[in-house]
Amino acid sequence: MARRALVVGSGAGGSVAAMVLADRGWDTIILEKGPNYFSDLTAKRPRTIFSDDELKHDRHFSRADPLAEPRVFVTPVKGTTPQVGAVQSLPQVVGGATVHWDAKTPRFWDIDFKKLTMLGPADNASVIDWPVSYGDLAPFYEEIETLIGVAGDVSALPSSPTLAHAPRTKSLPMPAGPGMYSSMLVAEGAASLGYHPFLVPMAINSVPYDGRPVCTNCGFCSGYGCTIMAKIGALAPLRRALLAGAELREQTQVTTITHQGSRATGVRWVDAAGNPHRESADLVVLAASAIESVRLAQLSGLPDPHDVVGRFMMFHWLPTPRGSSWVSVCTPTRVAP
Amino acid sequence: MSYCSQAMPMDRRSLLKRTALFGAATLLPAALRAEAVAAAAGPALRIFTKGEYDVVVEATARLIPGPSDDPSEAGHPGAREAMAVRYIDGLLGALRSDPARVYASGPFSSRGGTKTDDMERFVPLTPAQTWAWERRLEGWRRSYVSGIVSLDRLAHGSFVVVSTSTKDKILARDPEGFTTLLFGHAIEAMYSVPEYGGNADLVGWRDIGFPGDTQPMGYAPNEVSSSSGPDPYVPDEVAQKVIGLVSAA
Repeated sequence: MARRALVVGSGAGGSVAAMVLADRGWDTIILEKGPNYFSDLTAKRPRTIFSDDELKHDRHFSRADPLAEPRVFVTPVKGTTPQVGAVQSLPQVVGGATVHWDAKTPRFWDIDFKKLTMLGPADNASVIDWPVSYGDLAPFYEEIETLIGVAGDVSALPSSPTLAHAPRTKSLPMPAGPGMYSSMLVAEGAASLGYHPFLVPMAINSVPYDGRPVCTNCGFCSGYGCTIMAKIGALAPLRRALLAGAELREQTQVTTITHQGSRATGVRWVDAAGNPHRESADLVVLAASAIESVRLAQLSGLPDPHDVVGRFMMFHWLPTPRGSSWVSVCTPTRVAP
Repeated sequence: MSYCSQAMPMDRRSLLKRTALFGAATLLPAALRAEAVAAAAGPALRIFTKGEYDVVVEATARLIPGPSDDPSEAGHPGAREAMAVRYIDGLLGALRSDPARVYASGPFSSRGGTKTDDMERFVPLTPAQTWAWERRLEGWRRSYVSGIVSLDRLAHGSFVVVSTSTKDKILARDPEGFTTLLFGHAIEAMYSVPEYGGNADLVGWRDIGFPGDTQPMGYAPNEVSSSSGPDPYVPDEVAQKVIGLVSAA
């Protein structure tokens, strides 16, 4: 009898894990907390009910509603009050965050994996090496870039430092898409100041690819599910998983990883109506994003002999340059109170 | 709360071209035109009483005035023209429909060239979404009831009949945060897709030169990459003042 795997989360991590497990004959069930906004996920181009609708997005269509599922953020500084509501609100939908991402797909560098070896220890910091190197991962980068369809020009990437630290042996499956006028203008300005701007590879179709159409530059990209499937993200490996026999359960929230000693034995989960269930398994994959995976591990009391779970986390760097704040000058009223 | 989501700035010429396209009322979906006609005669109300309706119309018209509210707004439609009150009434009564009118469906409206408007249908809510929206709308309904009472009380009778300057002074007091709530909803009404009941005849988008949703037509690569010259917008006195404040900040 096939061994059973439960994969918690259907995003970038969970879909790939499910694809590999199902391909290798595991009885694989993917448990996704959010709803499914796609039909026919085994098609190369699923249909979706995502749309270029800003209000729908602002109404938390693809994220946890802060009223139903409030988060609490506590700054570890005395005297600050906890923030409750939509704190670092993550998407929870079938396909995870790759449904709404703007699909930049840089690679990590060799020094990211071997910080201790290559950069040495640092004061007041815990610097360690990963158990894998860039060279170990490079073939898998290539496989995923082909599967989800990455567009870009490798020869335009700076030979140093980018390619020196993350060498590539092949060109990308699609050429770079059109440069946006305003971005090119900023790039020109940056170049005139001595910087070396370049187009980052991205997993958005610049030409028709794998049964899906070219991007039509609609503008509703970051934050929005693609209406035409010109960005597919995790839905590509998810499709492979489903075709290999994996089962996807939407609106299925895992509440606990059950375990005996250091061995996971299954999960407890609740359905959309709130009814509790149990499922046993030979393997449980925690792929609910950095924050939710850690939260679930801690809620489940998983053993943490080295006291590292939930520490050393860095999540979704998002540098946002902006001018002045309009909020301070935009008020609803026309006269002073 | 918005979160790292902006529409891509668009090529100005194509933007104007598309805006001109929207100008043709014949291109509006028939249902929308019918709705606009019905709205002119006074829309069927889901939640508001006639009295509440009038207060919300007049209050939002002071927050986002149109040509009939302020002569300096000539050519610039406001909350009255966008039917902000219809949007707000629809929002507060969203759960009275099945499926609830909270999330317009997709992927396309008919504005990008497709025959049918998927956004006229709505997405059934999950139990968690239902739970949240029941509470959210209940809270807003209470805020509207007491907010409208407050506006009338501060007007010593009827908010609707006092002078515009008195209306402005009352609204500036933001009783119980009602003005802030109203402004947020009026802005949503001005610029959201019209399937939610506001942005009537796309007046909000047309005024700011925003082409709105364009899928599956979208834009050609050359429209993305090229400029069609400097921004033709000439800032008026109000805009100059805002620009000055921003530069000084």
